[in-house]
Amino acid sequence: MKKVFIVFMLLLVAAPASFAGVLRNNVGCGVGTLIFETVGRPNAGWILQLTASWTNGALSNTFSMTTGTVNCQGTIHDVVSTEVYEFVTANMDNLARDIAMGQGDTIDSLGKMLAVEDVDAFGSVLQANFGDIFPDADVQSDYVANKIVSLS
Amino acid sequence: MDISGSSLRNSNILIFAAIFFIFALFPYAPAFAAVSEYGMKAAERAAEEEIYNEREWHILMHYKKFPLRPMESLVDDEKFFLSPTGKTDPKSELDATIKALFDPDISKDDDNKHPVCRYSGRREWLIERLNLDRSKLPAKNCSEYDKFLKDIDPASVTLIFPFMYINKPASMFGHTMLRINNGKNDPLTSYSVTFAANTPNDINPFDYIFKGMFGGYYGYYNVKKYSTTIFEYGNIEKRDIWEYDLNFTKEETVRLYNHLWEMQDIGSDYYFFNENCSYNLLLLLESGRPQAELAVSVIWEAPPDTVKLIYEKGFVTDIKYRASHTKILENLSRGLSGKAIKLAQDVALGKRSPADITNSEYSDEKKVAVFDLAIESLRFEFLKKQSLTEEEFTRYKEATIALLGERAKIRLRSKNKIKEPDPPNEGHDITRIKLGAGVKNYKEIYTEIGFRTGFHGLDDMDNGYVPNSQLTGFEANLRYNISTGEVTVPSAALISFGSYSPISRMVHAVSYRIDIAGEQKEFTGGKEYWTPYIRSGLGATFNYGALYFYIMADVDFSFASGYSSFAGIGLGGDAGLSYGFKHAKITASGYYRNYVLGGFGEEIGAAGSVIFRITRNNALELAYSYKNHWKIQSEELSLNWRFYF
Repeated sequence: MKKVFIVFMLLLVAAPASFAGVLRNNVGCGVGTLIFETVGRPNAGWILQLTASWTNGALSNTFSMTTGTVNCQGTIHDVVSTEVYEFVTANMDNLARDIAMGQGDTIDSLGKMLAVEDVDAFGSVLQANFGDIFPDADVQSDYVANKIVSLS
Repeated sequence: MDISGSSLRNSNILIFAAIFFIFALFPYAPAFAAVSEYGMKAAERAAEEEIYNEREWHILMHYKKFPLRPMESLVDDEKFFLSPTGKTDPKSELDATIKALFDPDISKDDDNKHPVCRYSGRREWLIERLNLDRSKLPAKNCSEYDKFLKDIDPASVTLIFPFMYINKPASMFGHTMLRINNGKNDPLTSYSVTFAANTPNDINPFDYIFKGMFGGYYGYYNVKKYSTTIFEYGNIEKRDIWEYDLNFTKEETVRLYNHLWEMQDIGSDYYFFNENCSYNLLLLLESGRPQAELAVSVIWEAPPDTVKLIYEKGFVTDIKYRASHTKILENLSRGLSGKAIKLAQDVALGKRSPADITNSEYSDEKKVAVFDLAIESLRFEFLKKQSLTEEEFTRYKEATIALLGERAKIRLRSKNKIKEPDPPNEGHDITRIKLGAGVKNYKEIYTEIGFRTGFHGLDDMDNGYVPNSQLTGFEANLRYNISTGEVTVPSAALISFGSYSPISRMVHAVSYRIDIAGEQKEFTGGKEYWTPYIRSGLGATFNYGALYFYIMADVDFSFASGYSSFAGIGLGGDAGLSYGFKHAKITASGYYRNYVLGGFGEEIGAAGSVIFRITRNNALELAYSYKNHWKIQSEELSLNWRFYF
């Protein structure tokens, strides 16, 4: 039922428990972090792969309130709310894609957070400033969040 | 059934016995010494009014009465109960709850652990039901509860149904979640709730399957950002996600939240078939809307049924579709020439530079489509890897930013509208009964009755399912031959599953099938024998619009003990096609196998059918088959009515 469970499970089975945390420190809070953390996993045995699609399991029995910014060493301006910062951090890849395309879910969400009146126009503005928002491949989420707020 | 749990329960009994003993010695145990007079009075009144018999109380405590069993709570975690007999005694649990709520001395060092903060669902219901004065509750600072309430900001509820994963028919059983929409009604920042088994780190697959099915693991409610859920299901698992907005008011949603909060860290035995993810979500929905009777299944609660139940209850206000990554790729490639697709793929693989798209001869609209395909393909390339090195990660980041930067130079907004398939609630139910009549070799008339459990086969209407997916459990057909008076079982199956995912320009998937089944076969000499077989096939499927065509090679192990003392091994294969309309489906197939071992000889056959969809759960099938098994020919023509429930 839930293949993802295997991903997390195997992280713990085949790697030290601190694996994910260490990884996060290496890769920061930029583009690709989420994919790297999820894909960077050991291969699953076939029985587990087979059963994972119809059984259901999870490792965490608590409510996941972690925001994703815990391991980021970012600084945000006063005007950038924690909410925007956390959102940008958690959605860096999709946000970069949506801004390049000038539209998408993440732009809609940001528009609501920043109380933007015309989301379509906001998308176009962000698109036109893609190079400013994402100047290089190592750009971190705090920089992106600050830039977006200044453009809203 | 549950071996590991029994020793645990024995130790529970000892603890309970010890607690009983203490309570027996001190009728007014010091535990409740600090209960305020107001609280004692409230408890008395609750007992007089017998509110422990009320449905709301049973919902909050997950008390269920199953046939032939006394009422007990499905929750198995001791810490959930405030009375030592709470699991089986609603009355004593209610009394203990009210007293605990009004006892300021409990967990003095940590307000967040006080029942007032911890049992928010029970607290709110009791205040409302007994018309209690909130200010009389001990003053506690519920900072964790408050923070979580602020973060979740419960406003409305959406039922989330990740659809089956096309390459894994086993995923047809599905999964359901809830999304608690925040006040901004923004999906990505809202939280999703799922009920999942909590499995240990050192896991043995067989142990895992057994315990997962029969209650060896505790299940817990899990809460996380919906954006994470989309990433897991849509991007990694490549499953479409269906979102059913429900007509839950803010008040109902807050009530649901209050119950969810008190279920944090509370475990209930997880049973794959019944007390599973779907069943526990229904319990949660009931907590928000107690007058709705949802968690009523006894034998099993299959997620697709849950979706239909909620839909038929009239809870659904809107249905939204979120395409998986694979679907997005397929959609983007539509309308592009082979050359344009190749360009996008080359850019994604780093063989050509993003500027090559900018400098191509395509119009800006076409360039946007090629860019968007390249962007999604690039991500897909990385998502499907089993692991990533630091170098690959760097390459991904750099390639992504370079490609996106080049795309952003074309100041056009992308249009990625995807044609939505029929929503899953339009699919037939999962258990099937078949009634039919037919004629064999145009002379023998027979009637037939068939039964099949879950979920979907090639001969069912595909509305609400992934076309040509197959997963069926137990199936048996019983035939009465009117001409000869014989009763036979022409075919039966233990399990059949197949994945027929079409090969496209973007996705190269292998089709496969496994059948563990049996059929009545005629052997040379005119005798019929019951012949069990295991057959597995591998092949490819092609798709043009509503037409699907597959071809498969297979190996068949047949066991006809009456005819031969050996198992027969047959090599061969089959091919088939299907064409789906909104209200009908046409199928045709043919097969050939040569039993190289066992000396059975050759078998060849063909079949065709037309299926008419009358209602969601009723269909009519007209079927024809021709068989030439080991030189004995037979033909059958039948008309069957199918009913699903």
